[in-house]
Amino acid sequence: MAKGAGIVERSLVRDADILEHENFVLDGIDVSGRWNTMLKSRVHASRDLQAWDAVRQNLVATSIDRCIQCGMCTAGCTVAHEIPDFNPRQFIYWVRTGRTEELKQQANVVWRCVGCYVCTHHCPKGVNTAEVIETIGQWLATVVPNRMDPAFHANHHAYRRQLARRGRLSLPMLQATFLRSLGRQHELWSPEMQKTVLKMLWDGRAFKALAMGRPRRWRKNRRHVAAQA
Amino acid sequence: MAKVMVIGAGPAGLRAAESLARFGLDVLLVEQAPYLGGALARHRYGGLMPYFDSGPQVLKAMTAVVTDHARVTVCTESQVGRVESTDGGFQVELMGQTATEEHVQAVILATGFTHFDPRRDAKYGYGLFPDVITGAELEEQMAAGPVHRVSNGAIPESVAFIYCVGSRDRQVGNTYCSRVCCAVSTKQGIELRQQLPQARIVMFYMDVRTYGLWEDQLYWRAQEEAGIVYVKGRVAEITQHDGRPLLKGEDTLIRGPFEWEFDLVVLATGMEPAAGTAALAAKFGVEREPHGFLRQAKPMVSAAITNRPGVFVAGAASGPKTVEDSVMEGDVAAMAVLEHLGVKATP
Ligand SMILES: Cc1cc2nc3c(=O)[nH]c(=O)nc-3n(C[C@H](O)[C@H](O)[C@H](O)COP(=O)(O)OP(=O)(O)OC[C@H]3O[C@@H](n4cnc5c(N)ncnc54)[C@H](O)[C@@H]3O)c2cc1C
Ligand code: SF4
Ligand code: SF4
Ligand code: SF4
Repeated sequence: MAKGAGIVERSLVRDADILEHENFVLDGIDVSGRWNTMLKSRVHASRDLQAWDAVRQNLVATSIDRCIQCGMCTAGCTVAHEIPDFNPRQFIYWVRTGRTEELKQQANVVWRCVGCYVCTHHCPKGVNTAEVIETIGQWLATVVPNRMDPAFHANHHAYRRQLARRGRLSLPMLQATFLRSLGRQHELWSPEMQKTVLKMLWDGRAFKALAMGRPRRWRKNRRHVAAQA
Repeated sequence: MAKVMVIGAGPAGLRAAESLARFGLDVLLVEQAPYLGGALARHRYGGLMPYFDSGPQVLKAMTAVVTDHARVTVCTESQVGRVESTDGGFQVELMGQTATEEHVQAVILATGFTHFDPRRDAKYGYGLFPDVITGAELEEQMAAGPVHRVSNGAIPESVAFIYCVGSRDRQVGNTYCSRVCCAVSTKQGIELRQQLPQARIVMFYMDVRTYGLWEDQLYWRAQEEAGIVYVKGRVAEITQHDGRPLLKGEDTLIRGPFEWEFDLVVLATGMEPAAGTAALAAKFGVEREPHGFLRQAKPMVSAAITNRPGVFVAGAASGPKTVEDSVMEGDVAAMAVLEHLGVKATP
Protein backbone atom coordinates (compact mmCIF):
# COMPACT_ATOMS: atom_id res chain seq x y z
CA MET A 1 0.00 0.00 0.00
CA ALA A 2 1.20 3.53 -0.71
CA LYS A 3 2.45 5.48 2.25
CA GLY A 4 -0.37 6.83 4.37
CA ALA A 5 -2.95 5.43 1.96
CA GLY A 6 -5.52 5.16 4.74
CA ILE A 7 -5.43 8.87 5.54
CA VAL A 8 -8.50 10.89 4.63
CA GLU A 9 -7.48 14.03 2.69
CA ARG A 10 -4.09 12.43 2.12
CA SER A 11 -3.08 15.23 -0.26
CA LEU A 12 -2.91 17.66 2.64
CA VAL A 13 -0.21 15.70 4.45
CA ARG A 14 3.43 15.77 3.46
CA ASP A 15 5.27 12.45 3.03
CA ALA A 16 7.92 13.40 5.53
CA ASP A 17 5.29 13.91 8.23
CA ILE A 18 3.88 10.37 8.00
CA LEU A 19 5.33 7.69 10.24
CA GLU A 20 4.49 4.03 9.55
CA HIS A 21 5.76 1.14 11.59
CA GLU A 22 5.74 -2.60 10.86
CA ASN A 23 5.07 -3.47 14.46
CA PHE A 24 3.89 -0.79 16.78
CA VAL A 25 2.99 -0.93 20.46
CA LEU A 26 1.38 2.09 22.06
CA ASP A 27 0.92 2.18 25.84
CA GLY A 28 1.28 -1.60 25.95
CA ILE A 29 -1.32 -2.22 23.25
CA ASP A 30 -0.23 -3.77 19.97
CA VAL A 31 -1.51 -1.45 17.25
CA SER A 32 0.40 -2.98 14.34
CA GLY A 33 -1.44 -3.11 11.05
CA ARG A 34 -4.42 -0.88 10.57
CA TRP A 35 -3.48 1.62 13.31
CA ASN A 36 0.23 1.76 12.62
CA THR A 37 0.18 5.16 10.89
CA MET A 38 1.13 8.22 12.89
CA LEU A 39 1.51 11.84 11.90
CA LYS A 40 4.38 13.95 13.16
CA SER A 41 3.23 16.86 15.25
CA ARG A 42 3.32 20.18 13.43
CA VAL A 43 4.13 21.84 16.70
CA HIS A 44 7.75 22.86 16.97
CA ALA A 45 8.90 22.16 20.49
CA SER A 46 12.57 21.23 20.46
CA ARG A 47 15.04 24.05 20.33
CA ASP A 48 18.74 23.67 19.91
CA LEU A 49 20.77 26.83 20.14
CA GLN A 50 24.22 25.37 19.50
CA ALA A 51 24.28 26.73 15.96
CA TRP A 52 23.67 30.23 17.24
CA ASP A 53 26.28 29.92 19.95
CA ALA A 54 28.80 28.72 17.38
CA VAL A 55 28.01 31.19 14.61
CA ARG A 56 27.86 34.35 16.71
CA GLN A 57 31.25 33.56 18.19
CA ASN A 58 32.81 33.24 14.76
CA LEU A 59 34.76 36.38 13.94
CA VAL A 60 33.23 36.88 10.53
CA ALA A 61 29.67 36.28 11.71
CA THR A 62 29.27 38.27 14.93
CA SER A 63 27.01 40.64 13.01
CA ILE A 64 24.30 37.95 12.93
CA ASP A 65 22.84 39.49 16.09
CA ARG A 66 22.11 42.69 14.24
CA CYS A 67 19.52 41.09 12.00
CA ILE A 68 15.98 42.49 12.26
CA GLN A 69 14.45 40.12 9.71
CA CYS A 70 13.55 42.75 7.17
CA GLY A 71 14.10 40.42 4.21
CA MET A 72 16.15 42.71 1.99
CA CYS A 73 18.94 40.14 1.73
CA THR A 74 16.63 37.47 0.34
CA ALA A 75 14.91 39.99 -1.89
CA GLY A 76 18.13 40.82 -3.66
CA CYS A 77 19.87 37.46 -3.41
CA THR A 78 21.17 35.96 -6.64
CA VAL A 79 20.65 32.37 -5.52
CA ALA A 80 17.25 32.84 -3.87
CA HIS A 81 15.82 33.66 -7.27
CA GLU A 82 17.05 30.32 -8.61
CA ILE A 83 16.56 28.03 -5.61
CA PRO A 84 13.30 28.65 -3.75
CA ASP A 85 14.58 27.04 -0.52
CA PHE A 86 17.58 29.35 -0.37
CA ASN A 87 16.55 32.12 1.99
CA PRO A 88 19.32 33.95 3.88
CA ARG A 89 16.87 35.79 6.13
CA GLN A 90 15.30 32.53 7.17
CA PHE A 91 18.61 30.76 7.72
CA ILE A 92 19.57 33.52 10.14
CA TYR A 93 16.23 33.22 11.93
CA TRP A 94 16.53 29.45 12.19
CA VAL A 95 19.95 29.81 13.76
CA ARG A 96 18.81 32.42 16.26
CA THR A 97 15.61 30.64 17.27
CA GLY A 98 17.16 27.21 17.57
CA ARG A 99 15.52 25.58 14.54
CA THR A 100 18.57 23.45 13.90
CA GLU A 101 16.51 20.58 12.50
CA GLU A 102 15.22 22.69 9.61
CA LEU A 103 18.72 23.98 9.03
CA LYS A 104 20.18 20.50 8.84
CA GLN A 105 17.46 19.45 6.43
CA GLN A 106 18.52 22.26 4.13
CA ALA A 107 22.23 21.58 4.60
CA ASN A 108 22.72 20.95 0.94
CA VAL A 109 21.04 24.23 0.05
CA VAL A 110 22.56 26.64 2.57
CA TRP A 111 26.10 26.43 1.23
CA ARG A 112 25.11 27.35 -2.32
CA CYS A 113 25.67 31.06 -1.76
CA VAL A 114 27.75 32.40 -4.65
CA GLY A 115 29.42 35.16 -2.68
CA CYS A 116 28.06 38.07 -4.70
CA TYR A 117 27.65 40.26 -1.59
CA VAL A 118 24.32 41.74 -2.73
CA CYS A 119 22.88 40.91 0.68
CA THR A 120 25.70 42.57 2.62
CA HIS A 121 25.44 45.56 0.32
CA HIS A 122 21.70 45.95 0.97
CA CYS A 123 21.42 45.10 4.64
CA PRO A 124 20.06 48.14 6.54
CA LYS A 125 21.45 46.78 9.79
CA GLY A 126 24.99 46.35 8.56
CA VAL A 127 24.91 42.58 8.84
CA ASN A 128 27.65 41.01 6.76
CA THR A 129 25.02 38.61 5.52
CA ALA A 130 27.18 36.97 2.86
CA GLU A 131 29.79 35.86 5.35
CA VAL A 132 27.19 34.98 7.98
CA ILE A 133 25.55 32.60 5.50
CA GLU A 134 28.93 31.16 4.60
CA THR A 135 29.61 30.61 8.30
CA ILE A 136 26.29 28.82 8.76
CA GLY A 137 27.24 26.57 5.86
CA GLN A 138 30.60 25.88 7.47
CA TRP A 139 28.93 25.04 10.76
CA LEU A 140 26.68 22.57 8.96
CA ALA A 141 29.77 20.99 7.41
CA THR A 142 30.96 20.17 10.92
CA VAL A 143 27.69 18.66 12.16
CA VAL A 144 26.15 16.98 9.09
CA PRO A 145 29.09 16.62 6.68
CA ASN A 146 27.56 13.80 4.69
CA ARG A 147 24.43 15.76 3.89
CA MET A 148 26.49 18.18 1.85
CA ASP A 149 27.75 17.97 -1.66
CA PRO A 150 31.34 16.59 -1.73
CA ALA A 151 32.49 19.68 -3.60
CA PHE A 152 31.75 21.71 -0.52
CA HIS A 153 34.39 20.08 1.65
CA ALA A 154 37.41 21.49 -0.19
CA ASN A 155 35.80 24.83 0.33
CA HIS A 156 35.52 24.08 4.05
CA HIS A 157 39.26 23.72 4.26
CA ALA A 158 39.90 26.93 2.39
CA TYR A 159 37.41 28.70 4.63
CA ARG A 160 39.28 27.80 7.79
CA ARG A 161 42.62 28.74 6.28
CA GLN A 162 41.32 32.12 5.19
CA LEU A 163 39.82 32.80 8.55
CA ALA A 164 43.01 31.93 10.37
CA ARG A 165 45.21 33.98 8.08
CA ARG A 166 43.13 37.04 7.37
CA GLY A 167 40.47 37.13 10.04
CA ARG A 168 37.74 37.28 7.45
CA LEU A 169 36.54 35.60 4.33
CA SER A 170 37.12 36.25 0.71
CA LEU A 171 34.11 34.73 -0.93
CA PRO A 172 35.56 35.11 -4.45
CA MET A 173 38.58 33.09 -3.34
CA LEU A 174 36.35 30.44 -1.79
CA GLN A 175 34.48 30.35 -5.06
CA ALA A 176 37.71 29.86 -6.98
CA THR A 177 38.80 27.00 -4.72
CA PHE A 178 35.45 25.40 -5.11
CA LEU A 179 35.48 25.55 -8.90
CA ARG A 180 39.08 24.36 -9.05
CA SER A 181 38.29 21.36 -6.86
CA LEU A 182 35.64 20.39 -9.40
CA GLY A 183 38.03 20.87 -12.31
CA ARG A 184 35.89 23.77 -13.51
CA GLN A 185 38.48 26.53 -13.16
CA HIS A 186 37.80 27.72 -16.71
CA GLU A 187 34.43 28.95 -15.46
CA LEU A 188 36.25 31.52 -13.36
CA TRP A 189 36.72 33.56 -16.53
CA SER A 190 33.40 32.74 -18.13
CA PRO A 191 31.40 35.63 -19.63
CA GLU A 192 28.90 35.33 -16.73
CA MET A 193 31.67 35.71 -14.21
CA GLN A 194 33.11 38.70 -16.04
CA LYS A 195 29.71 40.32 -16.09
CA THR A 196 29.36 39.74 -12.35
CA VAL A 197 32.75 41.23 -11.61
CA LEU A 198 31.98 44.31 -13.69
CA LYS A 199 28.67 44.73 -11.94
CA MET A 200 30.29 44.41 -8.52
CA LEU A 201 32.79 47.07 -9.46
CA TRP A 202 30.09 49.30 -10.88
CA ASP A 203 27.71 49.23 -7.91
CA GLY A 204 30.49 49.38 -5.34
CA ARG A 205 30.03 45.94 -3.80
CA ALA A 206 33.57 44.92 -4.63
CA PHE A 207 35.06 47.92 -2.86
CA LYS A 208 32.75 47.51 0.08
CA ALA A 209 33.71 43.88 0.51
CA LEU A 210 37.38 44.83 0.36
CA ALA A 211 36.96 47.77 2.70
CA MET A 212 35.37 45.68 5.42
CA GLY A 213 38.82 44.65 6.49
CA ARG A 214 39.73 42.57 9.45
CA PRO A 215 37.56 42.24 12.52
CA ARG A 216 38.20 44.48 15.46
CA ARG A 217 40.76 43.23 17.96
CA TRP A 218 42.09 40.95 15.23
CA ARG A 219 45.64 40.99 16.62
CA LYS A 220 44.37 39.78 19.96
CA ASN A 221 42.11 37.11 18.52
CA ARG A 222 44.42 35.90 15.85
CA ARG A 223 46.16 33.19 17.79
CA HIS A 224 42.88 31.85 19.11
CA VAL A 225 41.46 31.57 15.60
CA ALA A 226 44.62 30.00 14.21
CA ALA A 227 44.47 27.37 16.93
CA GLN A 228 40.91 26.51 15.93
CA ALA A 229 41.73 26.24 12.25
CA MET B 1 -3.18 85.71 43.27
CA ALA B 2 -4.85 83.08 41.18
CA LYS B 3 -5.11 79.58 42.55
CA VAL B 4 -4.93 76.44 40.43
CA MET B 5 -5.80 72.90 41.41
CA VAL B 6 -3.69 70.09 40.00
CA ILE B 7 -5.20 66.63 40.48
CA GLY B 8 -2.73 63.76 40.41
CA ALA B 9 0.91 63.98 41.48
CA GLY B 10 2.62 61.81 38.87
CA PRO B 11 5.27 63.16 36.50
CA ALA B 12 2.68 65.28 34.66
CA GLY B 13 1.00 66.79 37.72
CA LEU B 14 4.30 67.43 39.49
CA ARG B 15 5.73 69.27 36.51
CA ALA B 16 2.56 71.34 36.05
CA ALA B 17 2.57 72.31 39.74
CA GLU B 18 6.24 73.24 39.64
CA SER B 19 5.87 75.43 36.55
CA LEU B 20 2.78 77.24 37.83
CA ALA B 21 4.45 77.91 41.19
CA ARG B 22 7.52 79.30 39.48
CA PHE B 23 5.29 81.67 37.51
CA GLY B 24 3.96 82.89 40.85
CA LEU B 25 0.60 81.15 41.02
CA ASP B 26 -0.71 79.32 44.07
CA VAL B 27 -1.08 75.60 43.48
CA LEU B 28 -3.12 73.02 45.30
CA LEU B 29 -1.74 69.61 44.43
CA VAL B 30 -4.29 66.89 45.16
CA GLU B 31 -3.13 63.29 45.27
CA GLN B 32 -5.16 60.30 46.39
CA ALA B 33 -2.13 58.17 47.35
CA PRO B 34 -0.06 58.79 50.48
CA TYR B 35 3.03 59.53 48.35
CA LEU B 36 4.01 61.68 45.37
CA GLY B 37 5.40 60.50 42.03
CA GLY B 38 2.57 58.51 40.46
CA ALA B 39 3.54 55.29 38.71
CA LEU B 40 7.24 55.91 39.38
CA ALA B 41 6.64 55.67 43.11
CA ARG B 42 3.82 53.10 42.89
CA HIS B 43 5.90 50.53 41.03
CA ARG B 44 9.37 51.62 42.15
CA TYR B 45 10.74 51.65 38.60
CA GLY B 46 14.46 51.05 39.00
CA GLY B 47 15.68 52.32 35.64
CA LEU B 48 13.76 54.40 33.13
CA MET B 49 13.79 54.00 29.41
CA PRO B 50 15.07 55.31 27.09
CA TYR B 51 18.08 56.90 28.85
CA PHE B 52 18.50 54.35 31.65
CA ASP B 53 18.13 57.07 34.29
CA SER B 54 17.73 55.87 37.82
CA GLY B 55 14.02 55.83 38.71
CA PRO B 56 14.52 56.86 42.36
CA GLN B 57 16.72 59.80 41.32
CA VAL B 58 14.26 61.08 38.75
CA LEU B 59 11.50 60.69 41.32
CA LYS B 60 13.47 62.62 43.93
CA ALA B 61 14.22 65.49 41.58
CA MET B 62 10.57 65.68 40.53
CA THR B 63 9.14 65.80 44.02
CA ALA B 64 11.80 67.97 45.72
CA VAL B 65 10.76 71.28 44.14
CA VAL B 66 7.09 70.75 44.83
CA THR B 67 7.47 69.81 48.48
CA ASP B 68 9.85 72.73 49.15
CA HIS B 69 8.02 75.45 47.25
CA ALA B 70 6.07 77.91 49.39
CA ARG B 71 3.36 78.37 46.75
CA VAL B 72 2.49 74.68 46.47
CA THR B 73 0.15 73.10 48.99
CA VAL B 74 0.38 69.34 48.80
CA CYS B 75 -2.71 67.38 49.82
CA THR B 76 -1.96 63.66 49.80
CA GLU B 77 -4.56 61.00 50.58
CA SER B 78 -7.15 63.41 49.30
CA GLN B 79 -9.93 63.15 46.77
CA VAL B 80 -12.19 65.52 44.94
CA GLY B 81 -15.80 65.55 46.15
CA ARG B 82 -18.47 67.91 44.86
CA VAL B 83 -17.58 70.37 42.08
CA GLU B 84 -19.55 73.53 41.26
CA SER B 85 -18.71 76.09 38.68
CA THR B 86 -18.68 79.68 39.80
CA ASP B 87 -17.90 83.02 38.27
CA GLY B 88 -14.37 82.68 37.01
CA GLY B 89 -13.62 79.25 38.42
CA PHE B 90 -14.71 76.22 40.41
CA GLN B 91 -15.75 75.55 43.94
CA VAL B 92 -14.24 72.16 44.79
CA GLU B 93 -14.79 70.04 47.85
CA LEU B 94 -11.78 68.04 49.04
CA MET B 95 -12.28 64.86 51.01
CA GLY B 96 -9.95 62.55 52.89
CA GLN B 97 -6.96 63.80 54.81
CA THR B 98 -7.53 67.34 53.58
CA ALA B 99 -11.23 68.11 54.00
CA THR B 100 -11.92 71.66 52.81
CA GLU B 101 -13.78 73.70 50.25
CA GLU B 102 -11.51 75.42 47.80
CA HIS B 103 -12.13 78.07 45.20
CA VAL B 104 -9.79 77.75 42.23
CA GLN B 105 -9.57 79.57 38.90
CA ALA B 106 -8.44 76.58 36.87
CA VAL B 107 -7.97 72.83 37.18
CA ILE B 108 -5.44 70.45 35.63
CA LEU B 109 -6.41 66.79 35.49
CA ALA B 110 -3.26 64.66 35.64
CA THR B 111 -4.69 61.44 36.96
CA GLY B 112 -2.54 59.17 34.81
CA PHE B 113 -3.10 55.53 34.10
CA THR B 114 -3.44 52.15 35.68
CA HIS B 115 -1.87 48.90 34.49
CA PHE B 116 -4.05 46.45 32.65
CA ASP B 117 -4.78 43.61 35.09
CA PRO B 118 -3.69 40.43 33.26
CA ARG B 119 -6.11 38.34 35.31
CA ARG B 120 -8.71 39.70 32.89
CA ASP B 121 -7.00 37.81 30.08
CA ALA B 122 -7.09 34.27 31.42
CA LYS B 123 -5.08 32.71 28.60
CA TYR B 124 -1.80 33.88 30.12
CA GLY B 125 -2.40 32.12 33.44
CA TYR B 126 -1.39 35.14 35.47
CA GLY B 127 -2.27 34.52 39.11
CA LEU B 128 -2.39 30.80 38.39
CA PHE B 129 1.23 30.10 37.50
CA PRO B 130 3.68 31.76 39.89
CA ASP B 131 6.39 32.21 37.26
CA VAL B 132 4.19 34.41 35.09
CA ILE B 133 4.71 37.98 36.30
CA THR B 134 4.06 41.51 35.01
CA GLY B 135 6.62 44.04 33.84
CA ALA B 136 5.90 46.14 36.91
CA GLU B 137 6.64 43.11 39.13
CA LEU B 138 9.89 42.51 37.27
CA GLU B 139 10.78 46.16 37.93
CA GLU B 140 10.21 45.53 41.65
CA GLN B 141 12.29 42.33 41.53
CA MET B 142 15.14 44.14 39.81
CA ALA B 143 15.05 46.94 42.40
CA ALA B 144 14.93 44.58 45.38
CA GLY B 145 17.58 42.03 44.52
CA PRO B 146 18.32 39.17 42.20
CA VAL B 147 15.64 38.37 39.67
CA HIS B 148 14.26 34.96 40.54
CA ARG B 149 11.55 32.46 39.76
CA VAL B 150 8.64 33.09 42.07
CA SER B 151 7.87 29.37 42.33
CA ASN B 152 11.17 28.24 43.84
CA GLY B 153 13.45 31.25 44.15
CA ALA B 154 15.87 29.89 41.54
CA ILE B 155 17.76 32.18 39.16
CA PRO B 156 16.06 31.84 35.75
CA GLU B 157 18.00 30.43 32.83
CA SER B 158 15.41 31.54 30.30
CA VAL B 159 13.09 34.51 30.31
CA ALA B 160 10.28 35.32 27.87
CA PHE B 161 8.60 38.68 27.45
CA ILE B 162 5.12 38.75 25.95
CA TYR B 163 4.19 42.03 24.31
CA CYS B 164 0.79 43.70 23.95
CA VAL B 165 -0.86 42.07 26.97
CA GLY B 166 -4.10 44.03 27.38
CA SER B 167 -3.39 46.21 24.35
CA ARG B 168 -4.28 45.93 20.66
CA ASP B 169 -6.85 43.30 21.49
CA ARG B 170 -10.61 43.52 20.92
CA GLN B 171 -11.10 40.45 23.11
CA VAL B 172 -10.11 42.41 26.20
CA GLY B 173 -11.71 45.62 24.97
CA ASN B 174 -8.54 47.65 24.36
CA THR B 175 -8.01 48.43 20.71
CA TYR B 176 -5.12 50.86 21.18
CA CYS B 177 -1.34 50.46 21.49
CA SER B 178 0.08 51.36 24.91
CA ARG B 179 3.15 52.91 23.30
CA VAL B 180 5.69 52.34 26.06
CA CYS B 181 5.66 48.57 26.68
CA CYS B 182 7.87 47.56 23.72
CA ALA B 183 10.52 50.01 24.83
CA VAL B 184 10.11 49.27 28.53
CA SER B 185 10.45 45.50 27.92
CA THR B 186 13.48 46.07 25.73
CA LYS B 187 15.04 48.22 28.41
CA GLN B 188 14.29 45.54 30.98
CA GLY B 189 15.86 42.90 28.74
CA ILE B 190 19.06 44.94 28.48
CA GLU B 191 19.14 45.40 32.26
CA LEU B 192 18.36 41.74 32.81
CA ARG B 193 21.36 40.76 30.71
CA GLN B 194 23.61 42.38 33.37
CA GLN B 195 22.10 40.17 36.04
CA LEU B 196 21.78 37.03 33.92
CA PRO B 197 24.75 36.83 31.56
CA GLN B 198 23.93 33.31 30.38
CA ALA B 199 20.15 33.36 30.19
CA ARG B 200 18.17 32.98 26.98
CA ILE B 201 16.02 36.08 26.70
CA VAL B 202 13.27 36.07 24.09
CA MET B 203 10.75 38.76 23.15
CA PHE B 204 7.47 37.67 21.57
CA TYR B 205 6.07 40.57 19.58
CA MET B 206 3.61 41.53 16.85
CA ASP B 207 5.47 44.70 15.88
CA VAL B 208 8.40 46.20 17.73
CA ARG B 209 7.26 49.75 18.41
CA THR B 210 10.45 51.31 19.65
CA TYR B 211 9.80 54.32 17.47
CA GLY B 212 11.92 57.37 16.82
CA LEU B 213 15.34 57.48 18.42
CA TRP B 214 14.64 54.35 20.42
CA GLU B 215 15.24 52.18 17.35
CA ASP B 216 18.98 51.97 17.87
CA GLN B 217 19.05 53.22 21.47
CA LEU B 218 16.94 50.28 22.61
CA TYR B 219 15.92 47.77 19.97
CA TRP B 220 19.21 47.42 18.12
CA ARG B 221 21.16 47.57 21.32
CA ALA B 222 19.10 44.76 22.85
CA GLN B 223 19.96 42.50 19.95
CA GLU B 224 23.52 43.55 19.26
CA GLU B 225 24.84 44.00 22.78
CA ALA B 226 22.50 41.97 24.96
CA GLY B 227 21.93 39.05 22.58
CA ILE B 228 18.17 39.17 22.95
CA VAL B 229 16.13 37.30 20.36
CA TYR B 230 12.87 38.67 18.95
CA VAL B 231 10.31 36.13 17.81
CA LYS B 232 7.37 37.39 15.80
CA GLY B 233 4.09 35.96 16.98
CA ARG B 234 1.57 36.66 19.69
CA VAL B 235 1.52 33.98 22.36
CA ALA B 236 -1.94 32.44 22.45
CA GLU B 237 -1.80 30.46 25.66
CA ILE B 238 0.37 29.65 28.65
CA THR B 239 0.08 26.33 30.41
CA GLN B 240 2.49 24.66 32.78
CA HIS B 241 4.78 21.74 32.05
CA ASP B 242 7.11 20.18 34.63
CA GLY B 243 6.60 23.22 36.79
CA ARG B 244 7.62 25.69 34.07
CA PRO B 245 5.42 27.97 32.00
CA LEU B 246 4.85 26.55 28.53
CA LEU B 247 4.13 29.10 25.80
CA LYS B 248 2.05 28.23 22.78
CA GLY B 249 2.11 30.48 19.79
CA GLU B 250 2.80 30.74 16.12
CA ASP B 251 6.09 31.91 14.75
CA THR B 252 4.71 33.95 11.91
CA LEU B 253 8.07 34.41 10.19
CA ILE B 254 8.30 30.67 9.70
CA ARG B 255 4.67 29.50 9.85
CA GLY B 256 3.49 26.76 12.13
CA PRO B 257 2.76 26.53 15.83
CA PHE B 258 5.41 26.27 18.54
CA GLU B 259 5.61 25.26 22.17
CA TRP B 260 8.39 26.78 24.20
CA GLU B 261 9.17 26.42 27.89
CA PHE B 262 10.66 29.20 29.99
CA ASP B 263 11.72 29.61 33.60
CA LEU B 264 10.15 33.04 33.90
CA VAL B 265 7.58 34.87 31.78
CA VAL B 266 7.09 38.64 31.89
CA LEU B 267 3.84 40.13 30.62
CA ALA B 268 4.22 43.58 29.09
CA THR B 269 0.89 44.85 30.37
CA GLY B 270 -0.55 47.95 28.81
CA MET B 271 -2.00 51.15 30.17
CA GLU B 272 -5.64 51.90 30.92
CA PRO B 273 -7.26 55.09 32.25
CA ALA B 274 -6.84 55.47 36.03
CA ALA B 275 -9.68 53.94 38.05
CA GLY B 276 -11.61 57.13 38.90
CA THR B 277 -11.29 58.76 35.47
CA ALA B 278 -14.94 58.43 34.46
CA ALA B 279 -16.26 59.83 37.75
CA LEU B 280 -13.82 62.72 37.74
CA ALA B 281 -14.59 63.53 34.11
CA ALA B 282 -18.30 63.66 34.97
CA LYS B 283 -17.71 65.98 37.94
CA PHE B 284 -15.85 68.47 35.76
CA GLY B 285 -17.99 67.99 32.69
CA VAL B 286 -15.01 66.77 30.68
CA GLU B 287 -15.56 64.38 27.80
CA ARG B 288 -13.70 61.12 27.35
CA GLU B 289 -12.47 59.74 24.05
CA PRO B 290 -13.66 56.30 22.85
CA HIS B 291 -10.98 54.36 24.80
CA GLY B 292 -11.96 55.99 28.05
CA PHE B 293 -9.09 58.47 28.38
CA LEU B 294 -9.80 62.18 28.83
CA ARG B 295 -10.41 63.77 25.46
CA GLN B 296 -8.05 66.40 24.16
CA ALA B 297 -10.49 68.78 22.49
CA LYS B 298 -7.98 70.62 20.29
CA PRO B 299 -4.86 68.49 20.02
CA MET B 300 -3.66 70.48 17.02
CA VAL B 301 -3.73 73.66 19.10
CA SER B 302 -2.67 72.49 22.55
CA ALA B 303 -2.40 69.07 24.14
CA ALA B 304 -3.94 70.41 27.35
CA ILE B 305 -7.28 71.83 26.16
CA THR B 306 -10.45 69.88 27.06
CA ASN B 307 -14.02 70.63 26.00
CA ARG B 308 -14.48 72.50 29.30
CA PRO B 309 -12.94 76.01 29.58
CA GLY B 310 -10.73 76.24 32.64
CA VAL B 311 -10.19 72.48 32.89
CA PHE B 312 -6.98 71.11 31.37
CA VAL B 313 -5.42 67.70 30.98
CA ALA B 314 -1.83 66.46 31.12
CA GLY B 315 0.06 63.18 30.95
CA ALA B 316 -1.19 59.63 30.64
CA ALA B 317 -4.71 60.72 31.63
CA SER B 318 -5.30 61.53 27.95
CA GLY B 319 -3.67 58.37 26.58
CA PRO B 320 -0.62 56.11 26.94
CA LYS B 321 2.54 58.17 27.29
CA THR B 322 6.14 58.10 28.47
CA VAL B 323 7.48 59.97 31.47
CA GLU B 324 9.19 62.40 29.10
CA ASP B 325 5.97 63.19 27.27
CA SER B 326 3.99 63.40 30.51
CA VAL B 327 6.45 65.91 31.94
CA MET B 328 6.28 67.89 28.73
CA GLU B 329 2.49 67.96 28.89
CA GLY B 330 2.71 69.16 32.47
CA ASP B 331 4.40 72.25 31.09
CA VAL B 332 1.93 72.53 28.24
CA ALA B 333 -0.95 72.48 30.72
CA ALA B 334 0.71 75.13 32.89
CA MET B 335 1.10 77.31 29.81
CA ALA B 336 -2.55 76.79 28.86
CA VAL B 337 -3.61 77.85 32.36
CA LEU B 338 -1.56 81.06 32.11
CA GLU B 339 -3.17 81.81 28.79
CA HIS B 340 -6.64 81.05 30.16
CA LEU B 341 -6.08 83.38 33.14
CA GLY B 342 -4.65 86.08 30.91
CA VAL B 343 -1.39 86.22 32.87
CA LYS B 344 1.00 88.75 31.38
CA ALA B 345 4.68 89.22 31.95
CA THR B 346 5.19 92.48 33.85
CA PRO B 347 8.20 94.51 32.77
C1 LIG C 1 5.56 48.77 33.33
C2 LIG C 1 5.73 50.20 32.94
C3 LIG C 1 7.00 50.74 32.94
C4 LIG C 1 7.20 52.06 32.56
N1 LIG C 1 8.47 52.50 32.47
C5 LIG C 1 8.68 53.70 31.89
C6 LIG C 1 10.00 54.12 31.58
O1 LIG C 1 10.96 53.38 31.81
N2 LIG C 1 10.16 55.33 30.98
C7 LIG C 1 9.10 56.14 30.68
O2 LIG C 1 9.29 57.21 30.12
N3 LIG C 1 7.83 55.76 30.98
C8 LIG C 1 7.61 54.56 31.56
N4 LIG C 1 6.33 54.19 31.80
C9 LIG C 1 5.23 55.13 31.58
C10 LIG C 1 5.12 56.09 32.79
O3 LIG C 1 4.81 55.35 33.94
C11 LIG C 1 4.04 57.11 32.52
O4 LIG C 1 4.35 57.82 31.36
C12 LIG C 1 3.92 58.16 33.62
O5 LIG C 1 3.85 57.58 34.88
C13 LIG C 1 2.67 59.00 33.37
O6 LIG C 1 2.67 60.05 34.26
P1 LIG C 1 1.32 60.73 34.75
O7 LIG C 1 1.70 61.77 35.72
O8 LIG C 1 0.51 61.13 33.60
O9 LIG C 1 0.48 59.56 35.47
P2 LIG C 1 0.77 58.64 36.76
O10 LIG C 1 2.20 58.37 36.91
O11 LIG C 1 -0.14 57.50 36.63
O12 LIG C 1 0.33 59.54 37.96
C14 LIG C 1 -1.02 59.85 38.18
C15 LIG C 1 -1.24 60.19 39.66
O13 LIG C 1 -2.57 60.62 39.82
C16 LIG C 1 -3.12 60.03 40.98
N5 LIG C 1 -4.58 59.99 40.81
C17 LIG C 1 -5.27 59.25 39.91
N6 LIG C 1 -6.59 59.48 40.05
C18 LIG C 1 -6.74 60.39 41.05
C19 LIG C 1 -7.85 61.02 41.64
N7 LIG C 1 -9.09 60.77 41.20
N8 LIG C 1 -7.64 61.88 42.64
C20 LIG C 1 -6.38 62.14 43.08
N9 LIG C 1 -5.29 61.58 42.54
C21 LIG C 1 -5.46 60.72 41.54
C22 LIG C 1 -2.49 58.70 41.05
O14 LIG C 1 -2.50 58.17 42.36
C23 LIG C 1 -1.06 58.99 40.56
O15 LIG C 1 -0.23 59.33 41.63
C24 LIG C 1 6.11 52.87 32.21
C25 LIG C 1 4.83 52.34 32.24
C26 LIG C 1 4.63 51.02 32.52
C27 LIG C 1 3.25 50.50 32.35
S1 SF4 D 1 18.94 42.38 5.09
FE1 SF4 D 1 20.08 42.31 7.02
S2 SF4 D 1 18.57 42.80 8.64
FE2 SF4 D 1 17.44 42.32 6.75
S3 SF4 D 1 16.94 40.13 6.98
FE3 SF4 D 1 18.85 40.26 5.79
S4 SF4 D 1 20.49 40.15 7.30
FE4 SF4 D 1 18.61 40.57 8.41
S1 SF4 E 1 26.29 36.60 -1.16
FE1 SF4 E 1 25.15 34.67 -1.11
S2 SF4 E 1 23.41 35.03 0.26
FE2 SF4 E 1 24.27 37.01 -0.31
S3 SF4 E 1 23.05 37.70 -2.07
FE3 SF4 E 1 24.86 36.66 -2.90
S4 SF4 E 1 24.21 34.54 -3.13
FE4 SF4 E 1 22.69 35.49 -1.81
S1 SF4 F 1 4.09 49.45 22.74
FE1 SF4 F 1 4.56 47.44 21.87
S2 SF4 F 1 3.92 45.97 23.48
FE2 SF4 F 1 2.96 47.92 23.95
S3 SF4 F 1 0.93 47.77 23.02
FE3 SF4 F 1 2.27 48.83 21.54
S4 SF4 F 1 3.07 47.22 20.21
FE4 SF4 F 1 2.21 46.21 22.04
